[in-house]
Amino acid sequence: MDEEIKNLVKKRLSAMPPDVSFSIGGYGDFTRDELIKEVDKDSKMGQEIIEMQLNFIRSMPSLLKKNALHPN
Amino acid sequence: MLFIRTKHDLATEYTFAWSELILQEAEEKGISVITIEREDINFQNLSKRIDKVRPKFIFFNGHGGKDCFYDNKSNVLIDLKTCLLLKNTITFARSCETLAELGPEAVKMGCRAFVGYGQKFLVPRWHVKTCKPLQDPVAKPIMECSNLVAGEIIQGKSVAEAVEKSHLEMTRTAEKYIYSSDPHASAILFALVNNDLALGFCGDENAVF
Repeated sequence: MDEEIKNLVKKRLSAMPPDVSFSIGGYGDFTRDELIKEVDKDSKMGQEIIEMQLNFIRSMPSLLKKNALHPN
Repeated sequence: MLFIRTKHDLATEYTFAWSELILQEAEEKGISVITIEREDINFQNLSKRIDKVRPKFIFFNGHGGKDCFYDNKSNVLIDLKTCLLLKNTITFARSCETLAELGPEAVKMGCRAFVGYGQKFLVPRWHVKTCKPLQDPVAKPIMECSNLVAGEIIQGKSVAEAVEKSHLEMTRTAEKYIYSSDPHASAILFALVNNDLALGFCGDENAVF
């Protein structure tokens, strides 16, 4: 996995609060620091987290556009 | 309606608690609800109940994989061979990944429509509120968007309408957190968007309960 992408994802995860955990299916429960470790280790879960973060980034433009079309 | 709810780890504590709101909604609407929970969840019990009750809507809360549901002990409950059990139902699976393979196979075997998530379903949790899932403000937006699918189906909306309503609600909720100074906003957004991207259905889009 591209180091720049890994670093981007790690930076994004580190911006999350330390007092929140994510339950991720059968993988279990992870704090943001534990997620960062998984990304660093290049584990299967770490790779999935990277993919989730990239999908999140990719979806932002259309999400913001949808909000512009359907204001509250 | 058949309610299946596991409860054996933090994630399922949360889905169990939040599904209570849908259970209440169904009962208020006068819908006959059969629940199978925790240790009672096994294939034999499930197939007996489905055979007897012939539910039109099945709401599964628990862990899943691309090709199966898991029971309270993380054993396979329903897989690609036994998803015939979902025939003639609308099934909403609040679980990871089951829309990827289990859903389409269930539809091939006669399930009217299968609503679920094609990727991992994230449940964010604020440590301060771990013992009180329904009071967890970090989990709330995620669970409410997910609950909306079941709620809309119970209210008689089509599967397509129910999923679309959840997507719309996610869009509105996400906007709130994008511009929010809430310290938990980034965590909420991550789970909210991830789950929404994974949400979909297969089968008859016009299927109603």
